[in-house]
Amino acid sequence: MPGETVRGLAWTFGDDVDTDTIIPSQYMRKSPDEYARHAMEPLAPEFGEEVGEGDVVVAGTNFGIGSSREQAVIALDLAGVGAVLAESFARTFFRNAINEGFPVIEVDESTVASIDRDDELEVEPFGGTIRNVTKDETYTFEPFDEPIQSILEAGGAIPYYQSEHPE
Amino acid sequence: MSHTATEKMLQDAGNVDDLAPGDTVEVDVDVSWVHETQLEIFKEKFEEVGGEVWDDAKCMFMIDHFPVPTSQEQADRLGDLREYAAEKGVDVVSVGIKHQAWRMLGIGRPGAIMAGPDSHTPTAGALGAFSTCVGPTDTALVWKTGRIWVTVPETIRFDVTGELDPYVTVRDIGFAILEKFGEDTSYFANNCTVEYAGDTVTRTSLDGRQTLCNMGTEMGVTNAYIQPDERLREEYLEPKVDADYQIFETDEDATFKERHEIDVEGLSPKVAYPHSPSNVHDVEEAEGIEIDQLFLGSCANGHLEDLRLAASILKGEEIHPDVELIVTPATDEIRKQASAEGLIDTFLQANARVSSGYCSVCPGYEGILGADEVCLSTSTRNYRGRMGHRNSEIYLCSPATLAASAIEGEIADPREVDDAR
Repeated sequence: MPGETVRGLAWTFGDDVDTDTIIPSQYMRKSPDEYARHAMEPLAPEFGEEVGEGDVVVAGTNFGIGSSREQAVIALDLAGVGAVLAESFARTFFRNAINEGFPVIEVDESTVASIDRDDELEVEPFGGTIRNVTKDETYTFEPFDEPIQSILEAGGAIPYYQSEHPE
Repeated sequence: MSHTATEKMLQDAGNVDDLAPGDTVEVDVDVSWVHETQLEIFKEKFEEVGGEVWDDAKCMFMIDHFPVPTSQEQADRLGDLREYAAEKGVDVVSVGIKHQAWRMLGIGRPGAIMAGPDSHTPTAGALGAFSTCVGPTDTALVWKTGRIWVTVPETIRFDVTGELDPYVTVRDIGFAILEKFGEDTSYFANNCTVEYAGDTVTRTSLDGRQTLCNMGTEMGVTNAYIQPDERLREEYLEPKVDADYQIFETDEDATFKERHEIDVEGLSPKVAYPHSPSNVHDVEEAEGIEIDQLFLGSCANGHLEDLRLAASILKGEEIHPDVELIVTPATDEIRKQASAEGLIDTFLQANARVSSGYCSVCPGYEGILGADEVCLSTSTRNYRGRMGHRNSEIYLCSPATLAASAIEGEIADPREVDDAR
Protein backbone atom coordinates (compact mmCIF):
# COMPACT_ATOMS: atom_id res chain seq x y z
CA MET A 1 0.00 0.00 0.00
CA PRO A 2 1.33 3.47 -0.80
CA GLY A 3 2.94 5.11 2.17
CA GLU A 4 3.22 1.91 4.16
CA THR A 5 6.21 1.64 6.51
CA VAL A 6 9.17 -0.01 4.80
CA ARG A 7 11.02 -2.42 7.13
CA GLY A 8 14.18 -4.23 6.18
CA LEU A 9 17.93 -4.27 5.92
CA ALA A 10 20.11 -1.65 4.29
CA TRP A 11 22.14 -2.32 1.15
CA THR A 12 24.70 0.44 0.74
CA PHE A 13 26.19 1.68 -2.53
CA GLY A 14 28.26 4.67 -3.64
CA ASP A 15 27.75 7.46 -6.16
CA ASP A 16 26.62 7.26 -9.79
CA VAL A 17 25.00 3.81 -9.61
CA ASP A 18 23.90 3.35 -13.21
CA THR A 19 21.04 1.55 -14.93
CA ASP A 20 23.36 -0.98 -16.61
CA THR A 21 24.17 -2.08 -13.06
CA ILE A 22 20.62 -1.91 -11.74
CA ILE A 23 19.37 -4.09 -14.61
CA PRO A 24 21.79 -5.32 -17.32
CA SER A 25 20.12 -5.22 -20.74
CA GLN A 26 20.77 -8.89 -21.48
CA TYR A 27 18.23 -9.81 -18.78
CA MET A 28 15.53 -7.44 -19.93
CA ARG A 29 14.32 -10.00 -22.45
CA LYS A 30 13.06 -12.10 -19.53
CA SER A 31 9.82 -11.62 -17.64
CA PRO A 32 9.91 -9.00 -14.86
CA ASP A 33 9.95 -11.60 -12.06
CA GLU A 34 12.91 -13.27 -13.75
CA TYR A 35 14.91 -10.16 -14.54
CA ALA A 36 14.38 -8.86 -11.02
CA ARG A 37 16.61 -11.71 -9.82
CA HIS A 38 19.51 -10.03 -11.63
CA ALA A 39 19.09 -6.57 -10.11
CA MET A 40 22.40 -4.91 -9.17
CA GLU A 41 24.33 -7.95 -10.46
CA PRO A 42 27.42 -6.19 -11.89
CA LEU A 43 28.07 -4.46 -8.55
CA ALA A 44 26.59 -7.01 -6.13
CA PRO A 45 26.12 -10.46 -7.67
CA GLU A 46 24.61 -11.77 -4.40
CA PHE A 47 21.86 -9.10 -4.36
CA GLY A 48 19.30 -11.08 -6.36
CA GLU A 49 19.57 -14.10 -4.06
CA GLU A 50 19.89 -12.36 -0.73
CA VAL A 51 17.70 -9.24 -0.88
CA GLY A 52 14.69 -9.48 1.40
CA GLU A 53 11.20 -8.03 1.22
CA GLY A 54 11.27 -4.47 2.53
CA ASP A 55 15.03 -4.05 2.25
CA VAL A 56 16.28 -0.53 1.54
CA VAL A 57 18.88 0.55 -1.00
CA VAL A 58 21.01 3.41 0.34
CA ALA A 59 23.21 5.28 -2.11
CA GLY A 60 25.18 8.47 -2.72
CA THR A 61 24.69 10.99 -5.52
CA ASN A 62 23.02 10.51 -8.89
CA PHE A 63 21.45 7.12 -8.30
CA GLY A 64 20.07 5.71 -11.55
CA ILE A 65 22.20 7.46 -14.18
CA GLY A 66 22.14 6.16 -17.75
CA SER A 67 19.24 4.66 -19.61
CA SER A 68 15.54 5.46 -19.44
CA ARG A 69 14.81 1.78 -18.87
CA GLU A 70 11.90 1.70 -16.43
CA GLN A 71 12.86 -1.94 -15.85
CA ALA A 72 15.46 -0.56 -13.42
CA VAL A 73 12.70 0.56 -11.07
CA ILE A 74 10.60 -2.55 -11.64
CA ALA A 75 13.59 -4.83 -11.01
CA LEU A 76 14.25 -3.25 -7.62
CA ASP A 77 10.56 -3.26 -6.74
CA LEU A 78 9.98 -6.91 -7.65
CA ALA A 79 13.23 -7.96 -6.01
CA GLY A 80 11.59 -6.76 -2.80
CA VAL A 81 13.26 -3.39 -2.27
CA GLY A 82 10.83 -1.14 -0.39
CA ALA A 83 12.52 2.20 -0.98
CA VAL A 84 15.71 3.80 -2.30
CA LEU A 85 17.36 6.46 -0.17
CA ALA A 86 19.99 8.56 -1.97
CA GLU A 87 21.69 11.95 -1.81
CA SER A 88 20.34 12.62 -5.30
CA PHE A 89 18.74 10.82 -8.23
CA ALA A 90 19.20 10.96 -11.99
CA ARG A 91 16.24 12.77 -13.54
CA THR A 92 14.71 10.02 -15.68
CA PHE A 93 15.14 7.30 -13.03
CA PHE A 94 13.44 9.57 -10.48
CA ARG A 95 10.48 10.26 -12.77
CA ASN A 96 10.18 6.55 -13.64
CA ALA A 97 10.18 5.58 -9.96
CA ILE A 98 7.47 8.07 -9.02
CA ASN A 99 5.46 6.97 -12.05
CA GLU A 100 5.69 3.39 -10.76
CA GLY A 101 4.63 4.48 -7.27
CA PHE A 102 8.02 3.47 -5.92
CA PRO A 103 9.45 5.57 -3.05
CA VAL A 104 12.65 7.34 -4.07
CA ILE A 105 13.71 9.53 -1.17
CA GLU A 106 16.36 12.25 -1.22
CA VAL A 107 18.31 12.29 2.04
CA ASP A 108 21.26 14.23 3.46
CA GLU A 109 24.86 13.14 2.98
CA SER A 110 25.07 12.69 6.76
CA THR A 111 22.15 10.24 6.71
CA VAL A 112 23.81 8.14 4.02
CA ALA A 113 27.09 8.21 5.93
CA SER A 114 25.36 7.00 9.12
CA ILE A 115 23.85 3.87 7.60
CA ASP A 116 25.89 0.69 7.22
CA ARG A 117 25.15 -2.45 5.25
CA ASP A 118 22.67 -4.71 7.04
CA ASP A 119 21.46 -2.01 9.45
CA GLU A 120 17.81 -2.63 10.19
CA LEU A 121 15.76 0.33 8.96
CA GLU A 122 12.15 1.51 9.24
CA VAL A 123 11.25 4.09 6.61
CA GLU A 124 8.06 6.20 6.68
CA PRO A 125 7.83 7.43 3.06
CA PHE A 126 5.05 9.94 3.82
CA GLY A 127 6.11 10.61 7.40
CA GLY A 128 9.53 11.98 6.57
CA THR A 129 11.46 9.75 8.97
CA ILE A 130 13.90 6.87 8.88
CA ARG A 131 14.54 4.86 12.04
CA ASN A 132 17.84 3.01 12.21
CA VAL A 133 16.88 0.24 14.64
CA THR A 134 20.39 -1.24 14.73
CA LYS A 135 22.04 2.05 15.69
CA ASP A 136 19.09 3.53 17.59
CA GLU A 137 19.15 6.69 15.42
CA THR A 138 16.46 8.61 13.56
CA TYR A 139 16.95 10.64 10.39
CA THR A 140 14.50 12.98 8.69
CA PHE A 141 13.86 14.06 5.11
CA GLU A 142 11.78 16.69 3.28
CA PRO A 143 8.25 15.69 2.34
CA PHE A 144 7.50 15.20 -1.35
CA ASP A 145 6.33 18.18 -3.45
CA GLU A 146 3.05 18.06 -5.28
CA PRO A 147 2.12 16.42 -7.60
CA ILE A 148 4.67 13.78 -6.57
CA GLN A 149 3.03 13.17 -3.18
CA SER A 150 -0.37 12.67 -4.84
CA ILE A 151 1.09 10.43 -7.53
CA LEU A 152 2.72 8.22 -4.88
CA GLU A 153 -0.47 8.17 -2.79
CA ALA A 154 -2.39 7.01 -5.85
CA GLY A 155 0.17 4.25 -6.45
CA GLY A 156 1.78 5.72 -9.58
CA ALA A 157 1.17 7.98 -12.57
CA ILE A 158 -1.47 5.83 -14.23
CA PRO A 159 -3.76 5.41 -11.19
CA TYR A 160 -3.20 9.12 -10.48
CA TYR A 161 -4.24 10.02 -14.02
CA GLN A 162 -7.27 7.74 -13.79
CA SER A 163 -8.37 9.33 -10.52
CA GLU A 164 -8.06 12.80 -12.06
CA HIS A 165 -9.94 11.74 -15.21
CA PRO A 166 -12.72 9.37 -14.17
CA GLU A 167 -14.31 7.76 -17.22
CA MET B 1 12.83 39.51 -20.17
CA SER B 2 15.75 37.63 -21.67
CA HIS B 3 15.47 33.94 -22.21
CA THR B 4 17.35 30.95 -23.49
CA ALA B 5 16.13 29.17 -26.60
CA THR B 6 14.98 26.26 -24.42
CA GLU B 7 12.86 28.53 -22.22
CA LYS B 8 11.35 30.10 -25.34
CA MET B 9 10.50 26.70 -26.85
CA LEU B 10 8.80 25.64 -23.60
CA GLN B 11 6.94 28.95 -23.33
CA ASP B 12 5.68 28.55 -26.86
CA ALA B 13 4.67 24.90 -26.45
CA GLY B 14 3.17 25.51 -23.04
CA ASN B 15 1.39 28.67 -24.09
CA VAL B 16 2.79 30.63 -21.16
CA ASP B 17 4.96 33.75 -20.88
CA ASP B 18 8.15 34.17 -19.01
CA LEU B 19 9.31 30.83 -17.64
CA ALA B 20 12.23 30.57 -15.26
CA PRO B 21 14.39 27.55 -14.39
CA GLY B 22 12.66 25.42 -11.78
CA ASP B 23 9.14 26.25 -13.03
CA THR B 24 6.98 23.32 -14.06
CA VAL B 25 5.18 23.61 -17.40
CA GLU B 26 2.92 21.30 -19.35
CA VAL B 27 3.72 21.39 -23.06
CA ASP B 28 2.23 20.05 -26.28
CA VAL B 29 4.33 17.27 -27.78
CA ASP B 30 5.20 17.18 -31.48
CA VAL B 31 7.09 13.90 -31.70
CA SER B 32 6.92 10.78 -29.54
CA TRP B 33 7.83 7.13 -30.04
CA VAL B 34 8.18 3.72 -28.45
CA HIS B 35 10.91 1.27 -29.38
CA GLU B 36 11.18 -2.43 -28.83
CA THR B 37 12.82 -2.54 -25.39
CA GLN B 38 10.17 -0.32 -23.80
CA LEU B 39 7.17 -1.81 -25.60
CA GLU B 40 5.81 -4.06 -22.85
CA ILE B 41 5.77 -1.49 -20.11
CA PHE B 42 4.35 1.14 -22.47
CA LYS B 43 1.62 -1.18 -23.74
CA GLU B 44 0.48 -2.12 -20.25
CA LYS B 45 0.28 1.49 -19.09
CA PHE B 46 -1.21 2.84 -22.31
CA GLU B 47 -4.00 0.27 -22.30
CA GLU B 48 -4.76 1.14 -18.66
CA VAL B 49 -5.61 4.68 -19.79
CA GLY B 50 -7.71 3.58 -22.74
CA GLY B 51 -5.12 3.04 -25.48
CA GLU B 52 -6.39 5.78 -27.80
CA VAL B 53 -3.58 7.57 -29.63
CA TRP B 54 -3.94 11.36 -29.45
CA ASP B 55 -2.49 11.97 -32.94
CA ASP B 56 -1.07 9.15 -35.05
CA ALA B 57 0.84 11.64 -37.20
CA LYS B 58 2.95 12.69 -34.22
CA CYS B 59 4.11 9.33 -32.95
CA MET B 60 5.70 6.16 -34.22
CA PHE B 61 6.94 2.77 -33.16
CA MET B 62 10.61 2.25 -33.80
CA ILE B 63 12.92 -0.74 -34.15
CA ASP B 64 16.54 0.13 -33.53
CA HIS B 65 17.94 -1.88 -30.64
CA PHE B 66 17.76 -5.33 -32.23
CA PRO B 67 16.45 -5.07 -35.81
CA VAL B 68 17.95 -8.47 -36.61
CA PRO B 69 16.75 -10.63 -33.71
CA THR B 70 19.17 -13.23 -32.36
CA SER B 71 16.86 -14.92 -29.87
CA GLN B 72 13.29 -16.21 -29.76
CA GLU B 73 12.38 -13.53 -27.20
CA GLN B 74 13.68 -10.77 -29.44
CA ALA B 75 11.84 -12.16 -32.45
CA ASP B 76 8.62 -12.41 -30.43
CA ARG B 77 9.07 -8.86 -29.15
CA LEU B 78 9.39 -7.48 -32.69
CA GLY B 79 6.31 -9.48 -33.71
CA ASP B 80 4.39 -7.98 -30.78
CA LEU B 81 5.53 -4.49 -31.75
CA ARG B 82 4.41 -4.82 -35.35
CA GLU B 83 1.08 -6.32 -34.32
CA TYR B 84 0.42 -3.60 -31.75
CA ALA B 85 1.40 -0.86 -34.20
CA ALA B 86 -1.01 -2.22 -36.77
CA GLU B 87 -3.77 -2.35 -34.15
CA LYS B 88 -3.16 1.30 -33.26
CA GLY B 89 -2.77 2.50 -36.85
CA VAL B 90 0.69 3.89 -36.10
CA ASP B 91 3.73 3.55 -38.38
CA VAL B 92 6.72 1.38 -37.60
CA VAL B 93 10.03 3.06 -38.42
CA SER B 94 12.97 0.72 -38.76
CA VAL B 95 15.62 2.61 -40.71
CA GLY B 96 18.30 3.15 -38.12
CA ILE B 97 19.14 4.39 -34.65
CA LYS B 98 16.28 6.75 -33.89
CA HIS B 99 18.45 9.85 -33.32
CA GLN B 100 19.97 9.60 -36.78
CA ALA B 101 16.70 8.28 -38.26
CA TRP B 102 14.94 11.49 -37.24
CA ARG B 103 17.48 13.44 -39.25
CA MET B 104 17.26 11.02 -42.16
CA LEU B 105 13.47 11.47 -42.23
CA GLY B 106 13.34 15.21 -41.51
CA ILE B 107 11.46 14.65 -38.26
CA GLY B 108 13.81 16.40 -35.81
CA ARG B 109 13.38 20.11 -36.38
CA PRO B 110 13.73 23.51 -34.69
CA GLY B 111 11.12 24.22 -32.06
CA ALA B 112 9.72 20.68 -32.06
CA ILE B 113 8.96 19.23 -28.63
CA MET B 114 10.22 15.64 -28.71
CA ALA B 115 9.59 13.40 -25.70
CA GLY B 116 9.89 9.66 -25.33
CA PRO B 117 11.92 6.81 -23.89
CA ASP B 118 15.54 6.77 -24.97
CA SER B 119 18.29 8.37 -22.96
CA HIS B 120 20.03 9.82 -26.04
CA THR B 121 16.99 11.83 -27.10
CA PRO B 122 18.96 15.08 -26.42
CA THR B 123 20.84 14.35 -29.69
CA ALA B 124 18.08 16.12 -31.65
CA GLY B 125 19.03 19.39 -29.97
CA ALA B 126 21.56 19.64 -32.80
CA LEU B 127 18.56 20.13 -35.11
CA GLY B 128 17.16 22.88 -32.88
CA ALA B 129 14.49 20.81 -31.14
CA PHE B 130 13.62 20.60 -27.44
CA SER B 131 14.28 16.89 -27.20
CA THR B 132 14.11 15.14 -23.84
CA CYS B 133 13.98 11.63 -22.44
CA VAL B 134 11.05 10.35 -20.35
CA GLY B 135 10.27 6.75 -19.43
CA PRO B 136 7.56 4.49 -20.90
CA THR B 137 4.91 5.32 -18.29
CA ASP B 138 5.33 9.04 -19.02
CA THR B 139 5.24 8.15 -22.71
CA ALA B 140 1.92 6.32 -22.28
CA LEU B 141 0.46 9.53 -20.87
CA VAL B 142 1.95 11.52 -23.76
CA TRP B 143 0.30 9.19 -26.28
CA LYS B 144 -3.01 9.58 -24.42
CA THR B 145 -2.98 13.34 -23.84
CA GLY B 146 -0.45 14.76 -26.31
CA ARG B 147 1.20 16.64 -23.45
CA ILE B 148 4.05 16.21 -20.96
CA TRP B 149 5.04 18.15 -17.86
CA VAL B 150 8.66 19.22 -17.60
CA THR B 151 10.72 21.22 -15.14
CA VAL B 152 12.39 24.16 -16.91
CA PRO B 153 16.13 23.46 -16.84
CA GLU B 154 18.94 25.88 -16.05
CA THR B 155 21.41 26.26 -18.90
CA ILE B 156 25.13 25.53 -18.93
CA ARG B 157 26.65 27.22 -21.93
CA PHE B 158 29.90 26.13 -23.61
CA ASP B 159 31.52 28.63 -26.02
CA VAL B 160 33.94 26.51 -28.05
CA THR B 161 36.74 28.19 -29.99
CA GLY B 162 39.86 27.15 -31.86
CA GLU B 163 40.80 24.69 -34.58
CA LEU B 164 41.14 20.96 -33.95
CA ASP B 165 44.42 19.36 -34.97
CA PRO B 166 44.33 16.53 -37.53
CA TYR B 167 42.91 13.30 -36.04
CA VAL B 168 41.45 15.22 -33.11
CA THR B 169 37.67 15.19 -33.37
CA VAL B 170 34.47 16.67 -32.00
CA ARG B 171 34.11 13.51 -29.86
CA ASP B 172 37.34 14.53 -28.13
CA ILE B 173 35.84 17.96 -27.35
CA GLY B 174 33.00 16.23 -25.52
CA PHE B 175 35.49 14.05 -23.62
CA ALA B 176 37.49 17.14 -22.67
CA ILE B 177 34.35 18.71 -21.22
CA LEU B 178 33.51 15.54 -19.28
CA GLU B 179 37.10 15.40 -18.06
CA LYS B 180 37.12 18.99 -16.86
CA PHE B 181 33.66 19.23 -15.30
CA GLY B 182 32.87 15.61 -14.57
CA GLU B 183 35.48 14.90 -11.96
CA ASP B 184 33.08 14.30 -9.05
CA THR B 185 30.31 12.88 -11.20
CA SER B 186 29.81 12.60 -14.94
CA TYR B 187 26.29 13.99 -14.32
CA PHE B 188 27.54 17.51 -13.62
CA ALA B 189 24.73 18.84 -15.85
CA ASN B 190 21.93 16.87 -14.15
CA ASN B 191 18.58 18.55 -14.90
CA CYS B 192 20.24 21.22 -17.08
CA THR B 193 20.27 22.27 -20.72
CA VAL B 194 23.74 22.11 -22.24
CA GLU B 195 24.08 24.66 -25.01
CA TYR B 196 27.09 24.59 -27.36
CA ALA B 197 28.13 27.71 -29.31
CA GLY B 198 31.25 29.43 -30.59
CA ASP B 199 33.22 29.46 -33.84
CA THR B 200 34.30 25.82 -33.54
CA VAL B 201 30.68 24.75 -33.34
CA THR B 202 29.74 26.97 -36.28
CA ARG B 203 32.41 25.18 -38.33
CA THR B 204 31.29 21.74 -37.12
CA SER B 205 29.28 19.55 -39.46
CA LEU B 206 25.77 18.35 -38.61
CA ASP B 207 27.25 14.92 -37.84
CA GLY B 208 29.61 16.51 -35.34
CA ARG B 209 26.84 18.62 -33.81
CA GLN B 210 24.82 15.45 -33.19
CA THR B 211 27.87 13.91 -31.51
CA LEU B 212 28.15 16.91 -29.17
CA CYS B 213 24.46 16.95 -28.24
CA ASN B 214 24.52 13.17 -27.83
CA MET B 215 27.32 13.47 -25.29
CA GLY B 216 25.10 15.77 -23.23
CA THR B 217 23.26 12.63 -22.14
CA GLU B 218 26.28 11.36 -20.24
CA MET B 219 26.51 14.79 -18.60
CA GLY B 220 22.98 14.26 -17.27
CA VAL B 221 21.17 16.89 -19.35
CA THR B 222 17.43 17.38 -19.69
CA ASN B 223 18.17 18.55 -23.26
CA ALA B 224 21.05 19.84 -25.38
CA TYR B 225 20.97 22.69 -27.90
CA ILE B 226 22.93 24.12 -30.81
CA GLN B 227 21.54 27.24 -32.44
CA PRO B 228 20.09 26.53 -35.93
CA ASP B 229 22.15 28.47 -38.46
CA GLU B 230 22.85 28.79 -42.18
CA ARG B 231 24.49 25.37 -42.36
CA LEU B 232 21.50 23.68 -40.74
CA ARG B 233 19.19 25.54 -43.12
CA GLU B 234 21.14 24.68 -46.28
CA GLU B 235 22.10 21.10 -45.47
CA TYR B 236 18.99 19.99 -43.64
CA LEU B 237 15.96 22.26 -43.28
CA GLU B 238 15.64 23.18 -46.93
CA PRO B 239 16.33 19.80 -48.52
CA LYS B 240 14.86 17.50 -45.87
CA VAL B 241 12.23 19.05 -43.60
CA ASP B 242 8.65 19.28 -44.83
CA ALA B 243 6.94 19.76 -41.47
CA ASP B 244 6.54 23.17 -39.86
CA TYR B 245 9.37 24.40 -37.70
CA GLN B 246 10.23 27.52 -35.75
CA ILE B 247 13.72 28.69 -34.89
CA PHE B 248 14.27 30.08 -31.39
CA GLU B 249 17.36 31.96 -30.31
CA THR B 250 18.99 32.37 -26.94
CA ASP B 251 19.09 36.07 -26.05
CA GLU B 252 22.52 37.69 -25.78
CA ASP B 253 21.88 38.60 -22.16
CA ALA B 254 20.10 35.40 -21.10
CA THR B 255 20.93 34.07 -17.65
CA PHE B 256 23.04 30.95 -17.55
CA LYS B 257 23.74 28.74 -14.55
CA GLU B 258 27.34 28.53 -15.80
CA ARG B 259 29.15 29.76 -18.90
CA HIS B 260 32.50 28.31 -19.95
CA GLU B 261 34.98 28.97 -22.74
CA ILE B 262 36.46 25.82 -24.23
CA ASP B 263 39.58 26.38 -26.33
CA VAL B 264 40.36 23.33 -28.44
CA GLU B 265 43.79 24.46 -29.69
CA GLY B 266 46.26 21.68 -28.95
CA LEU B 267 43.56 19.30 -27.71
CA SER B 268 44.73 15.68 -27.57
CA PRO B 269 42.65 12.70 -28.56
CA LYS B 270 41.05 11.30 -25.42
CA VAL B 271 40.00 7.95 -24.00
CA ALA B 272 37.34 7.34 -21.34
CA TYR B 273 38.43 4.49 -19.11
CA PRO B 274 36.14 1.95 -17.43
CA HIS B 275 33.57 2.37 -15.95
CA SER B 276 32.55 6.01 -16.50
CA PRO B 277 32.30 8.38 -19.48
CA SER B 278 34.02 11.05 -17.41
CA ASN B 279 37.00 8.86 -16.43
CA VAL B 280 38.89 10.58 -19.24
CA HIS B 281 42.61 10.39 -19.99
CA ASP B 282 44.78 11.67 -22.83
CA VAL B 283 45.44 9.04 -25.49
CA GLU B 284 49.18 9.26 -24.77
CA GLU B 285 48.49 7.72 -21.36
CA ALA B 286 46.29 5.02 -22.84
CA GLU B 287 48.71 3.86 -25.51
CA GLY B 288 49.43 0.15 -25.26
CA ILE B 289 46.31 -0.86 -23.32
CA GLU B 290 45.33 -4.30 -24.56
CA ILE B 291 42.01 -4.81 -26.31
CA ASP B 292 40.04 -7.76 -27.67
CA GLN B 293 37.24 -6.06 -29.60
CA LEU B 294 36.64 -2.68 -31.21
CA PHE B 295 33.33 -1.06 -32.16
CA LEU B 296 32.79 1.78 -34.62
CA GLY B 297 29.20 3.02 -34.50
CA SER B 298 26.39 4.12 -32.15
CA CYS B 299 24.32 7.31 -31.99
CA ALA B 300 27.49 9.10 -30.83
CA ASN B 301 29.75 8.21 -33.75
CA GLY B 302 27.91 6.10 -36.33
CA HIS B 303 27.65 8.96 -38.83
CA LEU B 304 28.99 9.04 -42.40
CA GLU B 305 31.75 11.43 -41.41
CA ASP B 306 32.86 9.09 -38.62
CA LEU B 307 33.02 6.16 -41.03
CA ARG B 308 34.95 8.29 -43.56
CA LEU B 309 37.53 9.26 -40.97
CA ALA B 310 38.04 5.70 -39.76
CA ALA B 311 38.18 4.40 -43.34
CA SER B 312 40.81 6.97 -44.27
CA ILE B 313 43.08 5.49 -41.60
CA LEU B 314 42.22 1.85 -42.36
CA LYS B 315 42.50 2.15 -46.13
CA GLY B 316 44.97 -0.39 -47.47
CA GLU B 317 45.56 -1.76 -43.97
CA GLU B 318 44.44 -4.83 -42.09
CA ILE B 319 43.36 -4.83 -38.48
CA HIS B 320 45.66 -6.58 -36.03
CA PRO B 321 45.09 -10.36 -36.14
CA ASP B 322 44.39 -10.58 -32.40
CA VAL B 323 41.40 -8.20 -32.40
CA GLU B 324 37.89 -8.04 -33.84
CA LEU B 325 36.46 -4.83 -35.30
CA ILE B 326 32.70 -4.44 -35.69
CA VAL B 327 31.45 -1.51 -37.79
CA THR B 328 27.76 -0.56 -37.63
CA PRO B 329 26.57 2.51 -39.56
CA ALA B 330 23.80 4.27 -37.63
CA THR B 331 21.18 4.12 -40.41
CA ASP B 332 20.39 2.34 -43.67
CA GLU B 333 21.03 5.60 -45.52
CA ILE B 334 24.46 6.04 -43.96
CA ARG B 335 25.32 2.41 -44.73
CA LYS B 336 24.36 2.88 -48.38
CA GLN B 337 26.23 6.18 -48.67
CA ALA B 338 29.27 4.57 -47.07
CA SER B 339 29.04 1.74 -49.57
CA ALA B 340 28.75 4.13 -52.51
CA GLU B 341 31.94 5.85 -51.32
CA GLY B 342 33.83 2.57 -51.02
CA LEU B 343 34.09 2.80 -47.24
CA ILE B 344 32.36 -0.52 -46.55
CA ASP B 345 34.83 -2.20 -48.85
CA THR B 346 37.72 -0.58 -47.00
CA PHE B 347 36.38 -2.04 -43.75
CA LEU B 348 35.84 -5.48 -45.27
CA GLN B 349 39.29 -5.55 -46.85
CA ALA B 350 40.72 -4.64 -43.47
CA ASN B 351 38.99 -7.78 -42.01
CA ALA B 352 36.39 -5.83 -40.09
CA ARG B 353 32.88 -7.20 -39.53
CA VAL B 354 30.19 -4.88 -40.87
CA SER B 355 26.77 -5.01 -39.20
CA SER B 356 23.36 -3.52 -39.91
CA GLY B 357 22.25 -3.90 -36.27
CA TYR B 358 21.89 -0.13 -35.58
CA CYS B 359 22.37 0.07 -31.77
CA SER B 360 24.35 -3.14 -32.13
CA VAL B 361 27.36 -3.51 -29.81
CA CYS B 362 26.75 -0.39 -27.72
CA PRO B 363 24.10 -1.77 -25.33
CA GLY B 364 25.24 -5.37 -25.64
CA TYR B 365 23.01 -6.70 -28.41
CA GLU B 366 25.95 -7.83 -30.56
CA GLY B 367 29.60 -8.48 -29.85
CA ILE B 368 28.87 -9.41 -26.25
CA LEU B 369 31.95 -9.48 -24.04
CA GLY B 370 33.07 -12.44 -21.97
CA ALA B 371 34.80 -12.31 -18.60
CA ASP B 372 37.91 -10.12 -18.60
CA GLU B 373 37.44 -9.07 -22.22
CA VAL B 374 38.11 -5.47 -23.25
CA CYS B 375 36.28 -3.44 -25.90
CA LEU B 376 37.45 -0.11 -27.31
CA SER B 377 34.39 1.66 -28.65
CA THR B 378 33.02 4.88 -30.14
CA SER B 379 29.74 4.16 -28.36
CA THR B 380 28.07 6.31 -25.76
CA ARG B 381 28.63 4.73 -22.35
CA ASN B 382 31.03 2.36 -20.63
CA TYR B 383 29.22 1.42 -17.42
CA ARG B 384 30.21 -1.90 -15.86
CA GLY B 385 28.57 -4.88 -17.55
CA ARG B 386 26.98 -2.86 -20.32
CA MET B 387 28.38 -5.04 -23.09
CA GLY B 388 28.40 -8.36 -21.23
CA HIS B 389 30.21 -9.90 -18.29
CA ARG B 390 30.54 -7.81 -15.17
CA ASN B 391 34.31 -8.28 -15.35
CA SER B 392 34.55 -7.03 -18.94
CA GLU B 393 35.76 -3.49 -19.64
CA ILE B 394 34.84 -0.75 -22.10
CA TYR B 395 37.08 2.12 -23.14
CA LEU B 396 35.49 4.93 -25.19
CA CYS B 397 37.22 6.96 -27.90
CA SER B 398 36.82 8.79 -31.22
CA PRO B 399 36.60 7.11 -34.67
CA ALA B 400 40.19 8.16 -35.46
CA THR B 401 41.60 6.68 -32.25
CA LEU B 402 39.51 3.59 -32.88
CA ALA B 403 40.85 3.00 -36.40
CA ALA B 404 44.46 3.50 -35.34
CA SER B 405 43.98 1.11 -32.42
CA ALA B 406 42.44 -1.53 -34.67
CA ILE B 407 45.62 -1.58 -36.74
CA GLU B 408 47.92 -1.70 -33.73
CA GLY B 409 45.82 -4.22 -31.78
CA GLU B 410 46.03 -2.01 -28.69
CA ILE B 411 45.00 1.55 -27.84
CA ALA B 412 47.03 3.83 -30.13
CA ASP B 413 47.39 7.53 -30.90
CA PRO B 414 45.88 8.20 -34.34
CA ARG B 415 48.30 11.09 -34.93
CA GLU B 416 51.23 8.68 -34.76
CA VAL B 417 49.75 5.71 -36.56
CA ASP B 418 48.78 7.63 -39.64
CA ASP B 419 51.96 9.74 -39.77
CA ALA B 420 54.06 6.60 -39.67
CA ARG B 421 52.57 5.29 -42.91
